[in-house]
Amino acid sequence: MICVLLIASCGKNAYEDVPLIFAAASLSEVLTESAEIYERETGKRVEFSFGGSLALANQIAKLDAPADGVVLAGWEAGEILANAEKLYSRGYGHQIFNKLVVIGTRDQAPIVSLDQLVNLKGRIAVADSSLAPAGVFAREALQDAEIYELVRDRLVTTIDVRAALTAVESGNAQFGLVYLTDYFSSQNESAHVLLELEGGHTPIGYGATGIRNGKRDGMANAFIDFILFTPETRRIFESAGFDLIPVPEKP
Amino acid sequence: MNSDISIVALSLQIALIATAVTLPLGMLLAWLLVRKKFRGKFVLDVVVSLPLALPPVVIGYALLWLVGSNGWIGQVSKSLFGSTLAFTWIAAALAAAIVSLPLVVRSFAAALSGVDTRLEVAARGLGSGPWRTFFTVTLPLAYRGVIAGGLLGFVRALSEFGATIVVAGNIQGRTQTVPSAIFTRISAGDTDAAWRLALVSVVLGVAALAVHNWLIKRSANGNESTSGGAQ
Repeated sequence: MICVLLIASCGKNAYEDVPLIFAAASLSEVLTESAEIYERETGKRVEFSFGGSLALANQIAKLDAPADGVVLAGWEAGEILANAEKLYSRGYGHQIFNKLVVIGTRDQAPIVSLDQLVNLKGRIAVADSSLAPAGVFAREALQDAEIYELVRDRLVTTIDVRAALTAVESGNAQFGLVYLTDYFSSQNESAHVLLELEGGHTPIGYGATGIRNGKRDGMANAFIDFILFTPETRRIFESAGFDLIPVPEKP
Repeated sequence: MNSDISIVALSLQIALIATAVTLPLGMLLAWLLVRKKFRGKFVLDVVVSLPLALPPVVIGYALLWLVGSNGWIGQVSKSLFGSTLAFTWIAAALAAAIVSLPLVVRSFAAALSGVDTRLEVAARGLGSGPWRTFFTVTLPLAYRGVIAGGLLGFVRALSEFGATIVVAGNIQGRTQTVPSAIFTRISAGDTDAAWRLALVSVVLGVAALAVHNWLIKRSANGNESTSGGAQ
């Protein structure tokens, strides 16, 4: 045990200067690319842990996961963190935005409204709403269309929204409710968009902020400010299908 | 995406450290179970074998309590280093060590059982102390079984997923082992990337088992000739 702790102390020093950012799975590609640009411009590295936003927020709030910053979807993740006193008063405004789409396998025709799903046969893949906000938004949209109870037993819940997309692409589900950006990021041609949802659910936003652990949150915040306001990284987000808050006007 | 080589390297690192812990501990436990009689031996056997009978996620959860903020190891770590051991490579190594320990103990117990105790008694009778006897008489006679046990433990440590993902998470570059990376890639629909790592796992597993089985076979033949000679 003493040996383990000794080895532990060696390992600790290696992480002293690299912030760890917990981020929603949908942001995997854009954040990784932005981090490469950040490293090129500033020489500083950033590390990530990607997953469902609620799962990650719970890891930080309840299990003391060593996150220095977060970029997570929805308000609930922010509340979980705020209640565990992991946020500074800077709080948790949304700075990045996304849309929900209904996707289907190639043999499905586009639909004009969500309630049409009731009459079509097949499984509907959504993220597990206890692990990822995408699942919550999907449920809200289905409830708003008043078909949630009718399609409930056809829902296939997955560990995060990317897995829901994969379920449709692999043909294991005929329909899915996923983010527009996930659909765009996929190279797979097996699924296509049946409907872009313009409402019916809480607006989908991501909050990005440092975590209050007194160590590397300053570095995390520096990275977040960089990616939100630097033209090159903004372009990466926008071409992936995300919307961003506008750059503040310079006086 | 995290490069294949760095994921394999991290996995190997974690598995090697786990094995470094299970080798001496496993030998101690195997010795107690094979050579010694004492009250509670039955209980020790059950406790040591328990990880084989439990879902790995349960082991991970139990470990999370131990090394997280509520457990004594976590609290020691927090006061020494400012954070608990959860979500670190150390937690991953502990998880790997716990799940592979029963395999190591069983293999070592089998290896020790194959050593003629009369040789050990003879050595002691000639004046050799217990440690010296172990290292100069017992271990050389059991070495093939010991290596085989170590190999089995190593490859099991390399494959650990359920316990690791609960107590150490899936953090690229820190705790994302080969099985965790395969899981992420499958979930993300990255089938080519998933296959590459799966292939690495299969190759390692086949190689380890082939060597393991060969060693066991050789040690069985060896012991036959030894006991034949002692007559």
